[in-house]
Amino acid sequence: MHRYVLKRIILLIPVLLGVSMLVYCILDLAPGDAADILAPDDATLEEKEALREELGLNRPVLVRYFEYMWKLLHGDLGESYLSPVSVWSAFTQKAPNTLKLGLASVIFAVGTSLPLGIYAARHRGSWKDAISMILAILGLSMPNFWLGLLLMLLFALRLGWLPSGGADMGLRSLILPTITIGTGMMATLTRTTRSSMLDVIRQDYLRTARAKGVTEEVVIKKHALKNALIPIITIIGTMLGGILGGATLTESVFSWPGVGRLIIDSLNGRDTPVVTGCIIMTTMFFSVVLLAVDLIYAFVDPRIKAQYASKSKKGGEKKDGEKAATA
Amino acid sequence: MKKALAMLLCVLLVVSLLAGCGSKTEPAPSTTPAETKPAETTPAQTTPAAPTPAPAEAKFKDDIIIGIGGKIIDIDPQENSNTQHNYYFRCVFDTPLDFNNQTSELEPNVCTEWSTEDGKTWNFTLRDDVYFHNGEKMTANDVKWTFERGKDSSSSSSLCKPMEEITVIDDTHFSITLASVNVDFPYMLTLPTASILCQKAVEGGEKDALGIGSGPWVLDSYEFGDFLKMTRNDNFWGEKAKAKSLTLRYMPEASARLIALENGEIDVCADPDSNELSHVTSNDKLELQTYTSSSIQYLAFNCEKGIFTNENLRLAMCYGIDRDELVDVVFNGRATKCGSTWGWNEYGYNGGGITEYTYDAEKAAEYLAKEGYGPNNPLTVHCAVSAGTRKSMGELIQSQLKPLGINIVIDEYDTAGLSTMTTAGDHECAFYGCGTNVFGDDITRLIDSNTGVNKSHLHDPQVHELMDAARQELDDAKRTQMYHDVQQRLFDIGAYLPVCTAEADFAVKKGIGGIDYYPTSHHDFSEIYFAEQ
Amino acid sequence: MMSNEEVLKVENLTVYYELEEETVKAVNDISFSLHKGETIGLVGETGAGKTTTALALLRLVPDPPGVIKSGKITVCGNDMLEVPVQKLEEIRGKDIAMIFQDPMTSLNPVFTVAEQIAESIEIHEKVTKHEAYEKALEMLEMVGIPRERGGEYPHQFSGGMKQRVVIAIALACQPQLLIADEPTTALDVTIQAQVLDLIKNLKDKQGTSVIMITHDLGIVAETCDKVAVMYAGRIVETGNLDDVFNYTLHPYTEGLFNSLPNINDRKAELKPIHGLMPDPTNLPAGCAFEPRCEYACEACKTQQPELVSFTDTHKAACLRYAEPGFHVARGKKHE
Repeated sequence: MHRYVLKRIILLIPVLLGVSMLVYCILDLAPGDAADILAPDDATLEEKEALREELGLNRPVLVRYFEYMWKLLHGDLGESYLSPVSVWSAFTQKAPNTLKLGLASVIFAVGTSLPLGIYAARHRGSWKDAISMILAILGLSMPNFWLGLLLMLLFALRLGWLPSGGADMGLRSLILPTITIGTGMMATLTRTTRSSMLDVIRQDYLRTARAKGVTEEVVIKKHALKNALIPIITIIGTMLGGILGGATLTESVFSWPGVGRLIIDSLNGRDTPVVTGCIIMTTMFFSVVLLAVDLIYAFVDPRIKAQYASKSKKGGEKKDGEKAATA
Repeated sequence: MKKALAMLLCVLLVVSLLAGCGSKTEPAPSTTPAETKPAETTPAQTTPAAPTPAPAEAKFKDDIIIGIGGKIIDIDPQENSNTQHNYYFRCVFDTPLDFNNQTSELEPNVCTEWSTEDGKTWNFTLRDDVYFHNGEKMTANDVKWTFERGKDSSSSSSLCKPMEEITVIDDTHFSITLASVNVDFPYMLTLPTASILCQKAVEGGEKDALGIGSGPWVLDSYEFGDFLKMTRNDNFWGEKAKAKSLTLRYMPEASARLIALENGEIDVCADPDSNELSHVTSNDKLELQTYTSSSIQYLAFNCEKGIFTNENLRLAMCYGIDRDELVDVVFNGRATKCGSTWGWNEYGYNGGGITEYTYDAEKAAEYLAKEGYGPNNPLTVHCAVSAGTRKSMGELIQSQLKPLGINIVIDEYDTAGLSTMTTAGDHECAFYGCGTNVFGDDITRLIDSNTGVNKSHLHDPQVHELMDAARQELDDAKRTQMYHDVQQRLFDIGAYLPVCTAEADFAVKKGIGGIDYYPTSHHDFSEIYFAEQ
Repeated sequence: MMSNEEVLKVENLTVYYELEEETVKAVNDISFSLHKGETIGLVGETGAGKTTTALALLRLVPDPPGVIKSGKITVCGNDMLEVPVQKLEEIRGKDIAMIFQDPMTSLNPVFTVAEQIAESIEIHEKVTKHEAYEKALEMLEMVGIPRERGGEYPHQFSGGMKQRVVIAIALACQPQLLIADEPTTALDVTIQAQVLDLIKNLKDKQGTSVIMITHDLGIVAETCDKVAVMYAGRIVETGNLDDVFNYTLHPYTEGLFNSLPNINDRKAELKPIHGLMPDPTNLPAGCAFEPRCEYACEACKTQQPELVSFTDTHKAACLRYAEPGFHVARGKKHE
């Protein structure tokens, strides 16, 4: 088991290398660079070139990339081109906000999807099932920013119960953005829960449990659910990993000072170190979460634990490097 | 039965998908617009209204919050010059001189007197009672140090580099000698790029030293990309601020910003979406404060390479575009056509009319024909835009120019991308904007420079000669004539098509006043107040 | 050995599976009873309705689509079809327990074997968790699995051992009635003998009544006191072991015996019963076995045969026995 964990951690390195190279080079392809942004409009071309040279942007991309990687390996994410702050501090200032929002959204999504999915599975085929599924799909169909604005109009403006933006009112500020992001997550999770439960509900061992005299409630919640958890945990893991990538649209709508907005603003400003740094951190977070998820599998399903412990190859390579998509 | 139902639903789904794939409706070709506005000889732009004076007996709110759409990323006044940074600079720092938007006159600020004999060497007298926020007294040394530092900075270099020599005579007297005569020099000292820093603080490495100014507000706390908070400077040498704290909050989404205002969470909403203004006018707790922007929205032609090195083609475009329609459709009528390629608020403006392109499709066709183009031999033109009004204008001229035989291809970029490619000269023509200050030489960066502002990449010897001479001309009448000549020349060669300047708004709570609106949109909030209703 | 206490009484049980397009008539009007300590073999081919009958006894017929159309089931004095759910859950596992056919899927893969046995004990007996776990380990020992393996998971056991665990679960609370649904079908012959032995021992020790569902006549011979032969959801012949094996009455039962290869006559041809069991969604009006029956007559096509008593214990449902002197080839005649 420890060997497995170690192997996974080591695999992180090529992933991060690949991601950083990709990001760095792609950003370079976009027209314009930080010197263009930073230099005021009335700078002459010579002045702009001088600035470019000062920032080191006139060197070929590979040279710059290697310098970046060298610093990275020493734990230095570099400085922002536009702001007098280090990438690390820019990131750590915003990251807790995004984490808070992401965690709350996942908890909200899990709290609503799991019961809904189980309910739908138990009443499969009936109108109750259909309604549950429609509710879940609704969440997915509504665009984030649209839903966010609607919620804001209703709860902040019309009713005045909640603030319309910012993160300063603690829990109350968290509610609307959480619901906005959470409803989007709901659809996938509900459907997964439902189909996973449906698979399990047919299994013979549930019949054995009932024959023992176990109450139906316990049959579902204990016997069935634990078996249905594996795909559900996978989805939750992906959602959790993706939260740091930021719910960019939601953060913009609610003026939430998070990483998503930081990445977009930096992209517009061609601030390569910040963008690369944030994406690297995000990837790392995502990979760690995925690893945690894989380890949790072992606790839920003893057959998987046996697989890890044995040195035999696992069926199907798991891809650690799935990049967190910015919502 | 179930199968049949399922099939039916699938068919319906596919049909509805295809229904969405209708052909894109072309914007209706413009015939004469409903209301033809007569060509105006005098622009309708007005000088901005004076900031409403604070009512004598009123209870003022302690804390004021302004929601802004741009991100503040640096506290150094010499490193940035865009709108949102200027809001903060004008509150926290002092510049040597001040400019009165209503009288269009220079006024003393921390410098009480200024004079010159030859336009090259300028003498200044500094106040004796100005203190920085850290308690240090401002002396002429601080001014000299600030401007020397500015030579290497991003935003203040163009101001400071021409300062060949700065001489400190004593604590309250100094003189600046420029590399060449520039009669506009004192005007440039009213801009936030001339903010005075505290030498001791910055050299001593004090915390946030670059945010230590001498203005009516003190920098209290900030988080880049989130907010910036200032508190009242009770040791200010002038009239004290009328509130205890002023916070600039970054809220990028315009609709959300307006909602926050309606909700009472902020007191001022900068730049609300022009489609949502009715929310403000219909709300009796809010009001709109409007000013005319001096930002010229224009169509630039790349005079250096590509098809528009040809003057006839440029003029064809200039006459073939109906600017009234652009104003009506893109700006909902809330804009005024430009009278010439010059700021209406700028020294030397010729009043418009004579150097204005009136819409004349026939004339345009003539110019086209001179080059052999027309409906039978259409000309393809690439027009670079960014999202928003620029894109809308691009789309409108597409339909306007098509009957003439000009096919516009729209190339859309993001803001940064558009800026870069137009600076590099990769465009044929592009929609862009440029704010103009009051001093006559300001327009140089647009029409005669190697900077990124000169989107037409214009290097016309006549224009160059005139602008050079005017810069050094001490005689008012002669100078004004030179600028008129420049405008005529620009008109003749069709380097730019200046479209219009737009009305701009701030949405505020009733009771907010004291905002000094600048046509350049670098407003001064230092005297803002919120009188309780 | 046989007390007269009736542990199970099934009266006129009919169970259908009502699907969208058709109805499967799985069990059609069967009745039988079981006394304390008795073992009855429920014999028949696949699809005869044996498992459905067993599930019905526990009220575990999946509903939908299963529906109990009529009948009464009395287990240890409880009317299984009428009791409230709470009482039902008390009875299940305690008074009546079931061993299912496929040990590979009958155990929950994410719980240890001891936990699964202990759960049954926890539900039905007033003991602490710890005590239940202890008892579970004892049960493991009883079925021949070392108690150290109690903390292991089902996937770590072979098929035969899994079945032992299932038996341990079923017998943990000493039920009065045990239903064993083809408990050895999925196992090798050698293991089969062990498992049967185990059931027999436990049954002797605890005095359990057993319903042994099987298609294997050999097992019936080994373990049962009584036999009921099912065909197309009906009981076509029932009696004690001697009756059915030696005094065989029904043509179908004869056919079953004839299908067995004869170890003494290795060269003889196998005599299978021609044809297949009828489609349970489309049962004929008359005797369901008629199409495959050597002895069929015209009346068999239209008239449903009823169970007729031949002795106290022996009953069969065949119209031909209305004719005097008729008997199937196999089996002695009753006096």
